[in-house]
Amino acid sequence: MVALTWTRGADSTASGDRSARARVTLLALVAFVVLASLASLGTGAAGVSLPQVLGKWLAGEGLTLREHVVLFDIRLPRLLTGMLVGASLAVSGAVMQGLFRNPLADPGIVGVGAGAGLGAVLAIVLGAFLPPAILAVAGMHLVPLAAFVGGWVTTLILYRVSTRAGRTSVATMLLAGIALGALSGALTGILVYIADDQQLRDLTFWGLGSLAGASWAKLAAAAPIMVLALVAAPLLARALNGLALGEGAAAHLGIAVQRMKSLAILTVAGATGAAVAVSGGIGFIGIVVPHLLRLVMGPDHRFLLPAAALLGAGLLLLADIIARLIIAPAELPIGIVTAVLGGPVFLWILLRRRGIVDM
Amino acid sequence: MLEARDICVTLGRKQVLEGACLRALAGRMTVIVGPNGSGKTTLLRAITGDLPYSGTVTLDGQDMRHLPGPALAERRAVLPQASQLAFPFTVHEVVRLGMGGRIALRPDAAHLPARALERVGLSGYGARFFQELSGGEQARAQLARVLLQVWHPVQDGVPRWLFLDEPVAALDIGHQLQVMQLARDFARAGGGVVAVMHDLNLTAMFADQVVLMLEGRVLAHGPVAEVLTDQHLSRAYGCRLRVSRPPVQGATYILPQATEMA
Repeated sequence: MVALTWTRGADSTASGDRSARARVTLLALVAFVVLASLASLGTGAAGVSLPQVLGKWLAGEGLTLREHVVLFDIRLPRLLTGMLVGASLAVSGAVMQGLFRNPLADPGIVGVGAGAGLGAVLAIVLGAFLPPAILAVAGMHLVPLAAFVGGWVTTLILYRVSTRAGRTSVATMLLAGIALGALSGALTGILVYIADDQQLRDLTFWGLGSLAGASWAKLAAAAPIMVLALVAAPLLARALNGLALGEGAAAHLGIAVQRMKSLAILTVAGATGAAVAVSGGIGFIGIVVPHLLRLVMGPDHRFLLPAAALLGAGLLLLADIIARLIIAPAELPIGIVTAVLGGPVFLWILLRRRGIVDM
Repeated sequence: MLEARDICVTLGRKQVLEGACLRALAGRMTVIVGPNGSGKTTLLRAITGDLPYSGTVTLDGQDMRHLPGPALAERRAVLPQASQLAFPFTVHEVVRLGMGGRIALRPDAAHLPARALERVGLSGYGARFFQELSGGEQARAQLARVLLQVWHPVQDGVPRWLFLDEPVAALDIGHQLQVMQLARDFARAGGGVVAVMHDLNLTAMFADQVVLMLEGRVLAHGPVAEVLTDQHLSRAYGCRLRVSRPPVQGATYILPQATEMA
């Protein structure tokens, strides 16, 4: 957590230019992700130790089948899934906050996660009824795609409801989010009710929010959407900076506001939907990560978005390590870990900046 | 040249502008005045594309509606009446948002926000948080951002424009004069300035052309001496106003007291 305690910037911060500080923070975050990745690869119930395996590999010895399976078929896909999910959740939080011009907007809190969840559950329960030809085409991509569509529709409704004449009301946004979340939850409940036993098992594990089921196949299904969203996000940086001044001022700066808003909504839906599809509901990453980063390096989205991807990836890996170790050899769902860590931080943000809610 | 013809704007059920026309030249400072609700800000917001309108607005013969956003942003900057800002940006970062297009590629680009702040009298304010500034300081910081967007009043022989909606409303008299002088300098250097103003005396001091509005129409349009007359002003503002001229400079000033004294 070097980046978080590092507050004194280079000389240029005296002029109010925090870009040098942001660059150093980005470097520190890269190091953090590398360390978290190594720790994640070396941790697990199987007792395969990374230094030992590395030593063997350097000495030119072959790995045992067990070591090979544990590292390459269990831990590596889990590591990559965790990184992508963490990055996606943090970036979609940052983009959504920029779009709504409010630090409390988060896909998990305002019902977008629930909408994506509804899409995923729809696909799991009703997917079997689809004509075989369509199933063959959609295949394993069906669940992430459905989650993406669910998240997208929810975000669109939310934005329409809470934005009038270019101004987004925070209170309306939060309340509409509650209503949309409840509605998605109810529909999800109906689907769970009609699901058969096998589907119920799938749903339960999925809903707890866990990386335990990570596999190459699941990763291959969800990764394209997440990577696409992560690649699209930096294109939004200038627009989100301009939007902080209001939509009118952003347009006067030459920003194609409507197009950028649509792209931002698609990005949020894609990143949230795919992340929810692969790992269930993992909360608070999207709100805690951008907030901490704004404290350290300021809200300039040119730096905030890549930094959020890095810190989100690293934090989720850490949370996953905790989830694996705390009641080993059993495993705690990671959603519980992020909620326990993130809930208090969210409350702290609320108490510190009560004014923004009263807007 | 900026030309707005037959601008009509309807907000809700009320027709706020009923065929307003305006012509402004680069190198001149054009000021729109008028009583509350006369439609002066609405006219400016139609010209800047903030409101849907019927009629045409052309910049050097090109219809503003057909100019793409980035090209338009290179040609003109807009200072809104009220500013809002989400997230804790520093003053430097806010001003820097104005820097787009070619100017961002200049080798001295990193120093330009500080220079823009210097011009509005906010040297050394770069590291402060925007939200911590007073209303007047925020208004000037926004002006610095807008100035940076059209840093050179003329670029490649093409004049650039400043649209200012009540630029001095939140300022003390010293800063009012400073900001008006800035706007006039911009016009003297070849750029175009269109400002909405409440203060008739500042208007009389700094404007080259005055547009006096009443009930969604232009009541009078022309040089200060022709527009700011007893007759026009008394009609527009619905009270007796007398225009006075100090004998020395021949400048115009308006004192409500003058009617009592006469």
